[in-house]
Amino acid sequence: MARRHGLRTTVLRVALLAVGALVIASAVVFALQPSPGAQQAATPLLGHRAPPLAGPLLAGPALGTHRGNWVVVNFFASWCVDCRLEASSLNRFAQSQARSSTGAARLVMVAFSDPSSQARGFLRLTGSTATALQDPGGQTALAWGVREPPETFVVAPNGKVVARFVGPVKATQLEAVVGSR
Amino acid sequence: MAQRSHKEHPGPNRRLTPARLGWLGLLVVVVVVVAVSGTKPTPRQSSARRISALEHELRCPSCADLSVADSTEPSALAIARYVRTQVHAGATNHAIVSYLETRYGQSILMVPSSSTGAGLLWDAPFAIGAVVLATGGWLAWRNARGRAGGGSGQQ
Repeated sequence: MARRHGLRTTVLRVALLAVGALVIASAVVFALQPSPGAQQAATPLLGHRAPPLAGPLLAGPALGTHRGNWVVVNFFASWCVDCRLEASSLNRFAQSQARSSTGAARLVMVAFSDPSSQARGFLRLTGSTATALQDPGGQTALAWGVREPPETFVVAPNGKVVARFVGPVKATQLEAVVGSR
Repeated sequence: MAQRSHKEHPGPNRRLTPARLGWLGLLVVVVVVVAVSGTKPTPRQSSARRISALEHELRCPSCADLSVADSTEPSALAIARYVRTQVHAGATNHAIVSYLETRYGQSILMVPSSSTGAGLLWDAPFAIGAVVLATGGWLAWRNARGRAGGGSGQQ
């Protein structure tokens, strides 16, 4: 009787250990999965003239200095987790573009439904030096057809929208668009 | 005495004199004007109704299946603000919806507008069915007629 009870306890322990190991292994695999990054998404704006960018300047150089360049327009918010995830990638992209001989693309960030103090705090925290605009009333985001941040648009020097990314964008994804044309 | 009094104060004259007809006409006009002004919405009420109808017609862009009217998402609030501004500025419903479609696509509508292609797609099975039935009916009629003609010829 005692022997059978011992056997049952051992089986139970082994089963529990197996389940625990499985849970830990799943968590490790999930954590090590590379982030899928942003999805390139359709928009009626593709191939059309980009809507005007307007709004009080939050930080960075004035908007007029970017005329005639590739412009990457990123809609962000301090309350958006994915925006924090993509911030370093955007900064890396902006810095590499500034270093390039042609100075190909400029980054413009637009605060999406975010009070200016919090948006400024986010820009400071993430070390952004890009042009950043406030969007009171969300009318700039509406003109660009933004659903929720982060969303990133690439505008060619001729003023036409050539790409839209939904989710945390990577520097390589932006470089692929800017470099391919 | 009582008889005399009755003669001096005759009963009310129920004849429709021109003057009475005029008063009656005026009364009818007043009643109609009051009724119409009571039911017709003022410009302000009409704008509010248009705004509400548009907000129910438009989908919140960042929600699964909620109208702008039912959502408090920032994108829905921005659209509600845009609709309000445009309605008060005198824009038509068509202009407002068309602008939003050029930004968000057809998915901005709770009920997608029917296009010619979609209409054809929906109507095609019925059209094909009607053609098949008509052809079948015509063939059956021709066979029956031929048989009848053949029968009468034999006789």
